[in-house]
Amino acid sequence: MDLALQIVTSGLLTGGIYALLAVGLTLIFGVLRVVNFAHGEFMMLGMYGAYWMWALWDIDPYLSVFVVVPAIFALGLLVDRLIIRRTIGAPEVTVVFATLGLSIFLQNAALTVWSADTRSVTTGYTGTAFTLGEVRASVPLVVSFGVALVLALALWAFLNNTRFGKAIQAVAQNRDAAALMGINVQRVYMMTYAIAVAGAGAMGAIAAPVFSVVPRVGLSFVITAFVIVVLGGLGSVPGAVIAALLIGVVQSVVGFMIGAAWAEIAYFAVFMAVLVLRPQGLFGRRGAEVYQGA
Amino acid sequence: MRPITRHALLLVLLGLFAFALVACEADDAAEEVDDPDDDAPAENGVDDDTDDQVRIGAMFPQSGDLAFEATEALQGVEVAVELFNEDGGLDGTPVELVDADAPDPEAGTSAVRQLVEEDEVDVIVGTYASAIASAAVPAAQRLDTLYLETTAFAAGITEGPDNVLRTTISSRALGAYAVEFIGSGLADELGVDADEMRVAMVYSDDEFGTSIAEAALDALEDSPVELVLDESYDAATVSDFSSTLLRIDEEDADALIHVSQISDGILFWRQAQELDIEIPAAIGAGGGYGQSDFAEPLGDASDGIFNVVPPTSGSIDTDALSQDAQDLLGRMQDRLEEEGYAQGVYTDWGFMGTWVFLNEVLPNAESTSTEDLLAAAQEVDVAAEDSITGFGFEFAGPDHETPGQNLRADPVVQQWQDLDLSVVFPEELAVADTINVPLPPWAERDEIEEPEDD
Repeated sequence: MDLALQIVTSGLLTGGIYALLAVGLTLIFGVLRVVNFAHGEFMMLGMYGAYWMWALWDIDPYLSVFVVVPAIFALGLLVDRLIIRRTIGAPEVTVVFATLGLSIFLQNAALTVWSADTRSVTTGYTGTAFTLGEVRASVPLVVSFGVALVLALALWAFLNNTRFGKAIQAVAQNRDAAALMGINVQRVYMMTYAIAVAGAGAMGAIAAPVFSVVPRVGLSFVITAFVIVVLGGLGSVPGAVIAALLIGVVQSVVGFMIGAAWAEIAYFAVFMAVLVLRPQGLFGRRGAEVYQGA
Repeated sequence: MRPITRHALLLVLLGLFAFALVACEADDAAEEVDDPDDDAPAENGVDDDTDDQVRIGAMFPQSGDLAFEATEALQGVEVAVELFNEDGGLDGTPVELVDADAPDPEAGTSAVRQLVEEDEVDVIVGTYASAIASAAVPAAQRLDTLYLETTAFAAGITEGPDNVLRTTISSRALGAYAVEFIGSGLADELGVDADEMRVAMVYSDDEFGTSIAEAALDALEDSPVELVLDESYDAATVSDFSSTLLRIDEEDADALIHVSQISDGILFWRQAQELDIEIPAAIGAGGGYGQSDFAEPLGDASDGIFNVVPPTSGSIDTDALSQDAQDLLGRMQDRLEEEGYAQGVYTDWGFMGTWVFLNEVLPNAESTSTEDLLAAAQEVDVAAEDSITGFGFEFAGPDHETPGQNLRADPVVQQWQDLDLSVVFPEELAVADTINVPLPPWAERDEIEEPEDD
């Protein structure tokens, strides 16, 4: 087995999972300046959606994602209306605790409704792998990797090639100037939040064949996703993808060379080093970082 | 760094800190127990001499992540108390059961105070979760109340406190037994000399995982078996086992000891299959490996995986039990059915531990003071065949290194066979022969079957 290639491949594929979550998070961060601690819970809801559609009606998660994503998108619109919108412009602490509160609420709601049981989706491709020479690549992880890249690319194209995408970028750069130019800032916020959490929901459904779902599953991923967002540069979609893949590979390489317990230490070391050398992150634009809160 | 960037970073750090606070709730609770302000002994509020009715406080997680299996244990306790009262209770007076929800260590210490100071219980029975028990036992100790642990394994529970009776096994025994099995029964099955056996140790870095792993690592030092990998991980955040699996493969391990919860156990084996990593034998130590939620998603891939646990009525040959024990098992099962309760492994341990306390300790104690109850416990002598769980009861004395520990709570090795756990070691308790030793190559295993829908 070409060990080095296998380690890097495994790291890249794990990074793909992180990327799906981080892309949405960086959008919310970059545009709304909201630290969305509930992001992992939207992923959890996506996983439960995929799980139940598989358990009750035998629908493959790769199909149920088309139901899960619109549902989470609608939930995102609702959450924006009820919570997020009211925190824009409030002190940062209010924003942090509003989304943290939402996170705890959603976790406990899941716990009450679905209990703490560990639920796992098993499909025909679970446990299977593509083989390239001596290197093996998990089928469900390759799929999630592909979906992450396609979604990130689509989002990047949307932001750069559509009128609404440019409006989102304008709001990210300067909310007041964008409003003066006639952009409906409130609507941009609402759509951005809903698109981003729908991405987390998509990740949940796509990852369901890989990871078991419990009410706290989002917590496992969201802290790493925050590191990725800052590392890649606030608001930068390509930055989030590259940083996610980097973190995945660092975890895998250090985990093999030194041990699993050191993997997290290693990527935080990378995180700190990048921030010291390049405070705006790998792909962050200084102009896009201007804080526009109260 | 530009000030505005610092602003954004501060926001992230503040948020991460808040998140960490939530995640570390358990640690804070454990520290709270050691708060010197709390050191002054509180009023017990119980007058042992004048209160005729004995009150038992049952403290288990009834909400939160741990509620499902902990509720099984609580139901076992409830049924034990009901049957004891049906038999006449304590000298004709029924024992009263008061329950309290303890979903985490912080709630556990609060529940102890509530049960002792407000509900005036004489004894606390718990707890299912090692972390909760580890926080609650010292709290009960300060309130001079006996703590009966029926289901939590952490070694520390009976390595220090002097107010504990633990009816179930200590993690120290679990870890040591896993090593003993590898060096004897498993080595024979694999056809490898014990001094040539290579073992990888992989465990979650929580209290449950580390306490078993430390015991296993200690036992490995005195064993001819060679430790080739010692790897811990955070079960709450792990998302990739590929590097660990590749290390196991590189080290050419003959056997794996894995202490995990359910989700990480499933992820580990799915990734082993994807990476085509061959591990000749794997031994789980309680936790996730003993749960059907672990085996069902793996399907046939779970066939042959071992698990070290204390036995239960479901995993032993109950025909070999004494007639009294068989009758007791029947009574318990009838009552569970009447109440609409399912019988799980924790039901058995919760029931039998409480039953022994009610019938063998309480009637022989001069009062319900910790001292008198512990003294009465010294006289307990229940043989394995007289217990529905298949292990007997004899409590270590105050001078023993593990005071209050049930010295007859010996583990057994079970093996997943066709989605059921069967005892395969030691021979005298085995109900089935081992299968899949060594575990067959992935290509030769049957395709994973989809479990039944919920």
